[in-house]
Amino acid sequence: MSFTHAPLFRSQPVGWIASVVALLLALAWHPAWLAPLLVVALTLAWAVPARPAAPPIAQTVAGARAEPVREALDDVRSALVDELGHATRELHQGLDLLRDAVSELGGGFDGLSSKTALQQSLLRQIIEVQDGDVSVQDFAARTGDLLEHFVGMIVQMSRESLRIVYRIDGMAKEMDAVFGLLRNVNTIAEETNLLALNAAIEAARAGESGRGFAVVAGEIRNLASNSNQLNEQIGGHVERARSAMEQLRGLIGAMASQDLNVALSAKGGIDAMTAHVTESDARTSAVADQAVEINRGLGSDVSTTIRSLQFEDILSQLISQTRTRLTELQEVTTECTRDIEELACAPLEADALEERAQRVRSRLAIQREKARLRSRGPALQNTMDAGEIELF
Amino acid sequence: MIVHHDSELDCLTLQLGERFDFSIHRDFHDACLGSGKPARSYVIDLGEVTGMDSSALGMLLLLREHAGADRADIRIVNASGELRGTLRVAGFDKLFVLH
Repeated sequence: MSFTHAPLFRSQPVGWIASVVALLLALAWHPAWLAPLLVVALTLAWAVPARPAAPPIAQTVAGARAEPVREALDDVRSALVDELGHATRELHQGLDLLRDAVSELGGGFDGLSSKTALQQSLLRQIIEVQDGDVSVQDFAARTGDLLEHFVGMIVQMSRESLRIVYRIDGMAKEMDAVFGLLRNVNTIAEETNLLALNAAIEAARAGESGRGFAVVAGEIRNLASNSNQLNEQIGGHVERARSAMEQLRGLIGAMASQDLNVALSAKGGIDAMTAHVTESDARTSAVADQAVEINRGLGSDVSTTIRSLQFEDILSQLISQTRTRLTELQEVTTECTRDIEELACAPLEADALEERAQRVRSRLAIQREKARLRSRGPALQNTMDAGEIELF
Repeated sequence: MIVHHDSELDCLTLQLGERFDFSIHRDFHDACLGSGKPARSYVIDLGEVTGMDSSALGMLLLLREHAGADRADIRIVNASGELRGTLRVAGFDKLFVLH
């Protein structure tokens, strides 16, 4: 009982004094209107100091154990502050590493992007060249035309050669006619010779009177023989001319008879080549188109990837926010542990104690408010397409 | 070479042998290029022909001239694929009727 009464008396002196004064006043002076006033005054006197009645108990308990609590709180504080400091430094390091890595990645992807663009332009050049003026198809078509022209020329030449051959045949017929005539002339000469021989015989029979006639008959025989020789010469010439014509005919005939199979197989070869080139052209251009398409896809992939590298910004923001939080947490820890220490250990007045407790609470409330504001504060981009991030 | 003249239609049919080349130029000439009035129409049957050279084409051109060039009515029939190819390369499909 003494444990509860003594402090009660000590802690509520105003109440007790007010009660004593009220008693004395009531005994000495007793008009009726005084009673309510006295009741109000007494209530106030008891009620006002009643509120800060609790702390002294803690104070009494804590006062005895102040030193170990202080030490423990110091330990807690230093451990927390150190740990938070480490965490901040590690975050900083992590951020630096991240920046380096991202800048290297960005450089790599930029290179990839420019090379892809170069590749694409090269492919486009190839396709443009393919679509250009002089194609292999044109070449084949022109070669085909040339071949037809060539065949046409050969056929024309054959026609003209045949015409010549037919002319030569006509001339050969004329020569045969000349031969026939020469044979007639020969017969005439032989008959003349025979006639002259007969005339010579008749002249010899006539004797001296036929001597002159015999001379004439001899001359006629000579003429017939000369005519015969001449005939033979003409026949020889005509024969040579005939054989020369025959040779000419053979030569021209050879000229007329050209093998067309070479041209024909060449034509077949050109047709096959044209078909092949057409097919291979189509295939090449299809493949080139496909390659361009793939390249375009690659380019867009790379640019998406480069865009995705912006996650570094977001992460940096997040990390620096975390660092701020940690720093604030350090301060809050320091201040609050100090206040708690004082609350726990310092022999303070009840008002001062209340004030400290209030300060700790309000400090924590401010911190909570800050955190709340931050969490819905300035646009923090916290979504990115999952597929794009998978690249890393 | 077998030559047949249908006097009713004035159509001359030439049925050529195995070879249609320079060796028959005289026969060809005697059959249809000689002097005299050309026939109204010609049928050149190449059914048995296996070898043909440029002189055959020359002969056909001469026949075309003889028969009145653009007015000529000459049909080439029974030509094998290879022969048709040769005739086409030479542009004969535009000058003659190929069957």
